[in-house]
This record gives sequence, C-alpha cells and structure tokens, in this order.
Amino acid sequence: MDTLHTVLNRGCSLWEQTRMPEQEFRRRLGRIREGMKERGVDLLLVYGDSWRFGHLAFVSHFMPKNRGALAVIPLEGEPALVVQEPSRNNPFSKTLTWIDEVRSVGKFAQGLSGALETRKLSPKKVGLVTVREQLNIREWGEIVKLLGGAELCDCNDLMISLRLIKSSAELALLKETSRILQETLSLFGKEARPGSKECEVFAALDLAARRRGVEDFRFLLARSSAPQIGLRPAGPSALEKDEGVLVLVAASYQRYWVELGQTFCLGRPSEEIKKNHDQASHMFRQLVEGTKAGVSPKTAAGWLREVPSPAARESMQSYGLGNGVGLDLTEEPYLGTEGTTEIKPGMVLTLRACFSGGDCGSALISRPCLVTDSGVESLVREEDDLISVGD
Amino acid sequence: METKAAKESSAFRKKVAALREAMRRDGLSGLLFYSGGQLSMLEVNAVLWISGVLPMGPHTGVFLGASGEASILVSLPWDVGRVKEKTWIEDVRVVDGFAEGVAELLRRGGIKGELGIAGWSFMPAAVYQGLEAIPDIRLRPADKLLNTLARFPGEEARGAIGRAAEMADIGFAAILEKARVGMPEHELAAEVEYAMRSQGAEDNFGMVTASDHSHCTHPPADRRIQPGDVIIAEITPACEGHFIQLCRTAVVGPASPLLREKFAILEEAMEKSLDRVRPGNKVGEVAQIMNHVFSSYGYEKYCRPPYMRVRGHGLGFLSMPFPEIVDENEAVIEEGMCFVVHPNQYLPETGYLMLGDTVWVEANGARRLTTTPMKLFTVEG
Repeated sequence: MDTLHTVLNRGCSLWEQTRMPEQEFRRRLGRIREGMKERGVDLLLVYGDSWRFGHLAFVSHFMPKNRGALAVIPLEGEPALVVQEPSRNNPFSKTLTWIDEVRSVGKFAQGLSGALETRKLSPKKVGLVTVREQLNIREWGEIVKLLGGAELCDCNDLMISLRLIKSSAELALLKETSRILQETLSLFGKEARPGSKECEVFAALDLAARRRGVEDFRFLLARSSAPQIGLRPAGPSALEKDEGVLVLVAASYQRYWVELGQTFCLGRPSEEIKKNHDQASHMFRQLVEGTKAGVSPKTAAGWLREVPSPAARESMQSYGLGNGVGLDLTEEPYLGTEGTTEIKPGMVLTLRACFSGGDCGSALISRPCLVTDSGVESLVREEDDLISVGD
Repeated sequence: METKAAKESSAFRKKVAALREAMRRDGLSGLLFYSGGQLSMLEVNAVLWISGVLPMGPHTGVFLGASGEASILVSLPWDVGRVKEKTWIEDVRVVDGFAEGVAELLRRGGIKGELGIAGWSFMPAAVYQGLEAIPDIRLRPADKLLNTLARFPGEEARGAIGRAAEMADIGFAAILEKARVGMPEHELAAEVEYAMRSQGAEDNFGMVTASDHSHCTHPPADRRIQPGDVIIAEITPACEGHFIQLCRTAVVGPASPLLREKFAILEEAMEKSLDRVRPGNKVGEVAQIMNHVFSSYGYEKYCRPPYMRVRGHGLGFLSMPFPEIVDENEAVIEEGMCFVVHPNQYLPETGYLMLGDTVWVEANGARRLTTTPMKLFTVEG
C-alpha cells in the first residue's frame, strides 16, 4: 500500500554484499540483455527516485536518498550509474552499488552524455524503464535532445517480468525484513496505552525498526473512533480506552520492502470491534484460499463479490486486496485487477483485508506471503486473534 | 479570539485572492497545483501550499479556476477521508489517470486557454505530456508565481516554526545523551529521529555521520563509533509543513587543540555571516563573507566543488525565500524571511565539520531560532 513519502531515505544505508552478492546483479544483467536483444534495443535507461526506485535497485542495488538516479546499460560492456547529487557525495554513493562507474552530476543529460562518450556509443534504439513516468519534464526534454534521432521504446514490461519471481537471495531478504517488521509491530502492545499520543507510539516503533537496520520505516493508523478517515500518518492526538486501532507498518531492508498490518484494541473490545475483526479474518482466509498458482489476479479475489456489505466491499477494493512486494512496496501483480500476470510459485505477495468507513466499521489484516505450488505460505507468524493491549 | 481553523481559512482566502489577481494579470484560465509522490525539503510543495494537504500517492493536484472555484484530485481512494479533514476545498475527486482526470474536470467546467502549472519542475514527463494533449488547453509553467507568493512563512507560522526549532534542539541533545563508543552510526541516527518524532516531528531531513575524517555528511551506515570520532549532524525536523535545520559537530572524547583551532574558523564564519543577514543586503554577501573567512586561513580551494558550494538555503514545503546561499545570489534579504545559514566546511586536517542555524530575519538582523549553543561539543563516549 502507498504510504506518506519522507523527504530523505535516511535509515541504515549500505550494501550487504554477503546477502546480495555482485553475481546476483551479473545474472540479472544477463537476463536484461537477453530482453534488450529480443527488442532490438542497444541501450537501456532505468530511472528511479527516492519515492520509487524498484527497477533501478534491481539493476544497481542503488537507492536514491532524496533525488534520483539513472542506470545506463549498454548491450555490451559495463553499465554506469548517473546520480543527481553534489560531487562530494560520490564516494558514499559508490558504497551502495556494485556498479563501478558512478557519475555524480547536477543534470542527468550531462551524466548520460559522459557515459555515452566514454563508450563511444550512439544508440539507435533506446529502451526506457520508468524514465518518462518519473523523470521531470525538463530533464526528460534534455535527455531526448541528447539522444537525437534514436528510437525510444518503453521497456517497463521487461523489467516487471524479470522481477515477478524472487530469487533465493531476494526471498532471504524478504524473510529478514518480515522478521524485523514483526518484531517491531509486536512492540505496539507494549507502547500503546490509553493516553499515549499516536506520534509517541510511532516514534517507538520507528526506533525499534531503525535499530534493527532498516533503511526506511512507514507507519499508518486508523482509529475505530473515526472510521470515516481511514489509514493516515500518526498525529499528536492521544489514543483512547477501548478503541480499535488499525496499524499498518512497512519497512525496507537492503532495498526489500515488506508490509504488515494488524488490528489492536486498547482495552476491552466492543462487540462491534470483535465483529469487524472476525469479518476481516474471514475475508483474509478467503483471500489466502483464493490466491493460488495458476489463477489470475482477478480470480484470486473473486470471493469479494460475495461480501454482503457494499461499503466493506468498496473499502476493501480501495485499499487493495494485495499486490506483489519486493523492491517496491507495491508491484505487480495487483490482486482484484484485470492484469494479465498469472500468479506463480516464487512470487511474494502482500495479502490485505482492510476496510474502514462509517457504514462498515474498520479492521485490518495484512501479511507478506510466498506463493508455493500448493498455495501461499505466510512469511510471518500468523496472528489471527484481535489483540487487546494497554490494560 | 480567532480559532486555528478560522486563521487557516483566512490564510487560504488571501492566497486564492492573490492567485485570482495573478491569473487575471497573466491571462490564465486556471492554475493546476501538482505534486508527485516524492516530497522535497528544498521546494515549496504546491499542493500543500494551496490545499493544506500533504500529498500521498503517485499524483495529487489542485485545480483553481479564474473565478476561485477549486477541486482537489487524489490518486488513493482510501485517502479521501484524510484529505477532506485537512483541506478547505470541498470538491475532492479520486482519479485513476491523473491527466484524464484533469481533462474531465476542465471539460465539465468549459475551461479553455492557458493553464498555469505550479509544481511544473517536479512534474513527470508522462503527466506533462498527458496534460499537453488536452484539447484547447495550453500549458504554462507557473512555478515562479508560486515561489513569489510563498517567499515568507508569515506571522501565522511562527508557532509551528518555533516548535520545529525546539524539536531540532531536542534532536541534537539526543546525540549528546546517547552517543557512545561502539554504537553503530545508524542507531545514533535512530535515537535522534525518536527524540524528534515522539515530540510530533512530521518528517526529518536528517543525516548523522561519525568518522575520523568525513568528506561530507550522508545517511548513516553501520560503522561503529570510535574514540576521537567527529560526529556531524544535519537535523531538519518539520512541524505543520515548516522545516527547521540545525547543523552541529560533536567529538567523542576530548577535542584536540587542532580540532578546536579549526572549528573556531567555522565559528568566526558563522558570526560574520549572521551579521550580514539584514534586510536590504544581498543573499550572496552571506556566502561571500563565509568564503572570505575560510580563504583568509588558506582554504580558498576548499570553498569550491568538489568540497563545498552552498552556504545555506531556504527550507521548503510551505515557504522558500530563495533556493541557495551562494556568492552569485543577487536576491535581497527581506524582513520575515526564514532560511538556514551554514558555514559547514571540509578541512583537510579535520575532515568535514558542521555548524549552522535557521534564522528569521527581523528589522535589525537575524534571530536564531534554536537554542543549542554554536560551539564544538564533546561527548563522553
């Protein structure tokens, strides 16, 4: 699920080479080049910014801190990375990627020009991955001008297809992020009390996650006392006795994101809170049962039609029933949508049953799951009960 | 006594009135305020400025028509409740395709002609091209208009800015309290974050680096703090959309005479540059005097890239007096501006050292907003 972006990716920033070795990137590069050859592309440009950088991290492991970066991948020879940053940041940026040639520049066209000149390249057909979608219009214009008469073609589909099934190294990182996030979320019970401010609880969880080495941490909550508002960032108001609180946390570790969501009650849950949680549990089980290898994302959520409350159904659709997760917090496939991507073993998905609103109450269960031949396997310990805290 | 909501409503009415006047003057049929998902501390956020909503999700826009009619377009359907709670704009719409949503809004309103885009410099090419394809509409960047109107935080922001300054002080105090030998850099950064977040900081452009010789500050890694390390911190909490920046240096264990001698140059540069922060002076003078101080000690080459360039800057989201304090900036300092002045400097003998404060310009000069002393700190370790 989308969350509020922060102005700087400021958590623990490094490349753990034992967990994500250079060979992994070399293998990816080989597969990318096969795709480039099939499409007749002789240069691939992959852009990412601090808000969304999954494709860029897939090729480089680089994570932009507050601006953006562009990977330059020729058909042959070594790739280059162009980072928008002051030149004094260059040595640090180099520690985050396996790519040797890191060009720190003010403008992307300047860095791309240098990379092309060094390689004596004048590409005829240039593949683009999230360049037009994310790069600002001014810099886009300069890049198009630099590339002259080269044919430009969209290669987003190539990168999406390569990222669907997670490798063993990726799965290990997703499991590690899941472990950290579960430990972090379990602290909600210790930190949240009637009278605690939302921002104090968030700060405590943020500290716990960052101490465990995450690069980024996100926190949204919704309160049963204000169901019309739904999930939102933490604010200064105090939590109240006996209210239900929906908590959604997300973190990235070594670029790999996981989302986890749970409903808590601060004291004795009312019948309505219990009923809403039971409904969410039931829906989550249906989601788990419907998500199988070989089915389409739409079919996996077919059971939603049978949810009796139109308000709950609409709310669940708006939050999304689930999606792929990995180098982006949300990525293909998106459950419940008309996508063509079939669910396959080796995918990691966030499954989510979340609804909120004046007409349907509120509840949340969200977990990362690995798709296997026989169904889905949760990457975290399953907590099906409504968790009462703060007594 | 005027309530907070009434004050806010009055502030937005003033903005709308100024924009309507500008649209009449510039021949614009409407203005589109745009923000993507990426937020920047160094820019006025067009959507937050006009609507009161900090954007979440891939695309958010506010359309303001020439007669003052307004709509807000959001990408996340589940975020509508928050948006409605935060904004004065009554027409809140969820759009799947952003450009298509804008096109539909303009078509229904019968709006044709020139559409000013505030937030143009951050607008992705695909969105811009989608808007360009709307029939009978011509696009015109309107960032200058926004930046002209958003140069001052305004008196109504003093409370929030003051709270942000308190948070920054608390953030740095956490370094002095928590830093110890053997602690990973990222844990210390997390403690700073905790100290400020638990006080309600909405965000933080924060970097904490510990090293025996830093070349610049950067987000933390896993290096463990060592005796004699120099900890440099850039701490930038936000409160109600206003940022404050504090830059300081602390040494683990006793400071060497060399370090004290070199840090004194930063202190001199800070004192002399703050003296130049006066209404009527040019922004460039602040940078020039800093560079003059470092040059007089033989560090002229280190005042230029790749070592240094910017000597301070405006702080964004809700206001931005000017982007950068550099020698060439001809902009004139005015009363009511708010910006950070930082003679941070790489010195070959010590590595990168930091000292900087956010100031509010008053009639007689700069008023520092934080209370952390401007000195070299030591931590026991």
